[in-house]
Amino acid sequence: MKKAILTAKELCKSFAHNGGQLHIISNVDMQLFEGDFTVIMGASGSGKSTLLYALSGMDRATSGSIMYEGMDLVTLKEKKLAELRHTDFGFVFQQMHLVSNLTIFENVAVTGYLNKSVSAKETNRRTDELLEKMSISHIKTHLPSQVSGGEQQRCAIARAVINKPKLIFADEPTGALNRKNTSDVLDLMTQLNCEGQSILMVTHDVRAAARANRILYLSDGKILGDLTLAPYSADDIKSREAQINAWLTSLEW
Amino acid sequence: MEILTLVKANIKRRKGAFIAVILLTAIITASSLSIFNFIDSMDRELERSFSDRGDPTGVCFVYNKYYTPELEDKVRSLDIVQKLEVYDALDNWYNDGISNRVGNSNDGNSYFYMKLHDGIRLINSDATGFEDSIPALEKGEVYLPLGCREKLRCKVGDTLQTCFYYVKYEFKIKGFVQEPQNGSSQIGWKQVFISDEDFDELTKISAQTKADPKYKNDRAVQNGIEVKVFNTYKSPSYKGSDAQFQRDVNLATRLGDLSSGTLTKAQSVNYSSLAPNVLSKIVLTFIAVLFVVALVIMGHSISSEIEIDRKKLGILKSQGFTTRKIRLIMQIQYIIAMVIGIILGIAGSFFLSGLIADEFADVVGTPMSIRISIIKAVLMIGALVAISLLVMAVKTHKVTRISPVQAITGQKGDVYFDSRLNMGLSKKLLSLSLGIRQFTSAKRRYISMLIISALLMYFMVSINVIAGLVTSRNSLEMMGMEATQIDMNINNAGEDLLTIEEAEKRAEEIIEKYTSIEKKYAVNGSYCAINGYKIFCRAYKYPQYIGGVYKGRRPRQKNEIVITQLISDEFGWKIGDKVNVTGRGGELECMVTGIYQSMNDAGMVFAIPSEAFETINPSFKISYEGFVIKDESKAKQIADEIDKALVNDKGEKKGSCSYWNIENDGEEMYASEIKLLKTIIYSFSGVFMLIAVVLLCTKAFVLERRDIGIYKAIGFTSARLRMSFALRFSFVALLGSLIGIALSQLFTQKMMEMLLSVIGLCYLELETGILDIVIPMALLILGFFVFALIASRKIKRVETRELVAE
Repeated sequence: MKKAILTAKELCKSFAHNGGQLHIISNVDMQLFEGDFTVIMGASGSGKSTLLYALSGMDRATSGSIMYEGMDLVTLKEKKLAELRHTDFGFVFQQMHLVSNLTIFENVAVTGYLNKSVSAKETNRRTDELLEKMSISHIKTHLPSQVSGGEQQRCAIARAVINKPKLIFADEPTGALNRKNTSDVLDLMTQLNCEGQSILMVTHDVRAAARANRILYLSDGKILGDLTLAPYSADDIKSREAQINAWLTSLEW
Repeated sequence: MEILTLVKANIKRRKGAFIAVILLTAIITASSLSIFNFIDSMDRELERSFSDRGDPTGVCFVYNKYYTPELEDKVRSLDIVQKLEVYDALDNWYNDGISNRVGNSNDGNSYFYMKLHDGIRLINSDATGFEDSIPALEKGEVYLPLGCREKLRCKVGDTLQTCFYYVKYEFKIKGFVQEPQNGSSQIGWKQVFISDEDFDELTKISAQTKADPKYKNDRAVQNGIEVKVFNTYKSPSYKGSDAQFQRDVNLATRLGDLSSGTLTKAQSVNYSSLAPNVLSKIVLTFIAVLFVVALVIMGHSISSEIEIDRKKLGILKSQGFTTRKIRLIMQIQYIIAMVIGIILGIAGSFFLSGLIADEFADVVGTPMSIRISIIKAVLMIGALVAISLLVMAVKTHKVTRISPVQAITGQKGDVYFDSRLNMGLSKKLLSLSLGIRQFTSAKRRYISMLIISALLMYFMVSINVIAGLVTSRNSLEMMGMEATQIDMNINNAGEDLLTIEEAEKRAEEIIEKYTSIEKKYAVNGSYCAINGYKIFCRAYKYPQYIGGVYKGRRPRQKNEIVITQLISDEFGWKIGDKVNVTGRGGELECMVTGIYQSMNDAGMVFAIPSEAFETINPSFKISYEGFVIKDESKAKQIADEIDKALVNDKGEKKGSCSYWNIENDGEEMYASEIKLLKTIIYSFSGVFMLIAVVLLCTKAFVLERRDIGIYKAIGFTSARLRMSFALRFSFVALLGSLIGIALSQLFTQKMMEMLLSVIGLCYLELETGILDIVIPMALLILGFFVFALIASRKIKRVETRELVAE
């Protein structure tokens, strides 16, 4: 029996539009489980990113609830949400979003510094370790503008995991990368998941989705499908992709 | 039409910058025009006040002891004298702590009590104009010149206490009058007016007192209090200056030599307008610096606008707008703001000029009606607009470098960061280190802020140092003043008096029980003539301690003098020249051995050994001596002991001694003027600080919006980010402060010497105390911190959702 770490009920997200309400997410009920690599797929405009940011507390849901460790993220105060972002959650964005005037090392370490329970020395050590793991230690004194997109994204992943979060939210992390960098980043994500890291990732790339063990299909703000896959293995990547494609076709993607 | 549409849109979108330019222009216009209006009005009103009085060229106060009808006839018969008026007056005494006192305020200068005569106008109750007529005085009433209001801190209805011989008298102040010759609070002697009945009664009492056998040996009583006030009017055909006229009258009649004091119209005008002129120059210098600050802010605002609106400008270019037209649009919006600011400034200048005029009415000695100085206003506004247009033209030049494609696609320039100092982040000081990183990453963005904070700091430190001038013994000595700690005065009136020698001997014995004497000043002042020109003279018993000698040397021989640079420039006497010093009792050829500076008589003064002075003024006596001692902590105790020792053989008190605490009393001397200057400089600095921080914060916020979102996404709270924002600006303020301090150390002295050269102070010794620096520095840093914290409240509104690319 898997342990649910995040539970959303009747989640709605609407925006004011031309004097009315535009419903992006409608009454979504879902759970995320510990150790899962969950992927949200869907067509453009289906509300994937909106759902991801609502679930992470980055964006306030209009109604419903998102329970995390007994706290409802929908009503949680900004200070507590900020604390969750550097203690329990990690984020990887499509556009990397590294702080432009901090070095690669500092971009990772600065998040670690927010963690009061870890010393600066330990944060620096762990940052070095992560950069080594992400194969970017040789560029640690560079500014983001001086490194490639793939290296920036690896730095963003290192930043996301510096505080050993319970859940990583990734919004199309390979969306802005070339084929080689995409593969490297996905390998890293897979490796993290294999080490027990829970991940929720948004993507419309089947190759990326094939790394997950669970896929949710979103259409018009509603979850229309929930596919469970066997744990990832590099050897059966083709069959996984075929399975996903078939499932998506059945959902009229 | 398209220009108008875009200008309107720009103004609407950048209201903050628009309002800031209006405010800055209004402040600069209002303050500078106010000063110009005030100075011109003051000059005009001083001229008018003399004109009301009939335009006398000079006034001389001659004690009856030295007066003869022949003297009057001689003066009257001179061709160069068009008219002579001679009035009877009575000089008051200093007795039992009272000379001219209202409440706790006592003025030790001579007040000449006289009958009311023509040309004296009664000032209205709020000192803004005049009453139509001046009512006759009843017995026991007095009219005081306006300057007494500040000197004696008094109002209509108060009681003025004074002494004639050993008797105290009281007069009720009926009103304040315009008396142009001595009316300013900056001039010591005063002509005051009492009823004919009082005057006649006092004259009678004076005669009886002198005739009283009881006072036959009392030198002071026998000298008398009766004075003749000579008002001389030069003939229209006389082409020389007022000083030359006075000299020519003196050479022909000895009127100047026999006078206790003289004052020409030019001197009166100079003394009355001196303090306002010096303060105005300081304020105008500050305004000039503020104008530079305003230009920096405006330039920065234009750069920000170009940077923030890159995309919009690119779109405009892609739609066929020429660079020239875009620059014109940007310039028009600032010109509109400036025009509004100028109009508000002109309106505000009327109000401000009025305030300044009211503040300085007592100093000038007459109410001032303010009129706008049209020529100066046009020139000033013209210069302001021309320089601003030049800055706009330079700053909007950047528009030419915007590529439409690059701008529309949102690309930054080739180099986003100038450089990066190798300064690591700190976990413990995360907000501060991140703030500093933001600064070091884009230093050029903060250059304007650095300039502004440095200039504001420079002026705040400078004003503190200036204020410190009056509380520093070294500085006062350099200005030719006696910065003593123990002041001793012996009585001149009565019998069985103490001599200064005896008092000095007793004082020295007491001082040496506690500490040693470093300097002593036995000195007295009086007017005498050099080559016929009546000049204030300071006679020193110990000339080796004369302060402020910066060229040549102090007098060593009896027939040597030192003069001020103002006198040297005015009359052409130089070191090594021989001059004739004339007193009531003779003449002495003296050599000028040095140039010194002194604040006495606004710098028109010379110093001579008292030994020499006594030979030309046999009745001259020194009745004051001050001491500078090594251990000041004992000064109060010593002064009290000396005070008790100043008694004659009969045990009668014949003098007084007190401790002069420079820290308190020095500040008291110029409290209102310094306070006014400090208020102006600190409040203007505050406004400019606020505007600069708000504009810069807005720019930083727009440019860093994405980074703020990222920081929020990784767990930074709005409060921590705002703190980092505020600390960054505080850090810039700290750097700017350090530059400002360096500037003040380099230039304040030169600036002050330049400004004070009008009163002959060419060399100053300024001392910068730690508080002079720490207080403005703390204010600046705190100001930047608070304003940045307030201005950064928009950070709260940044949502991490802005990072989402749907």
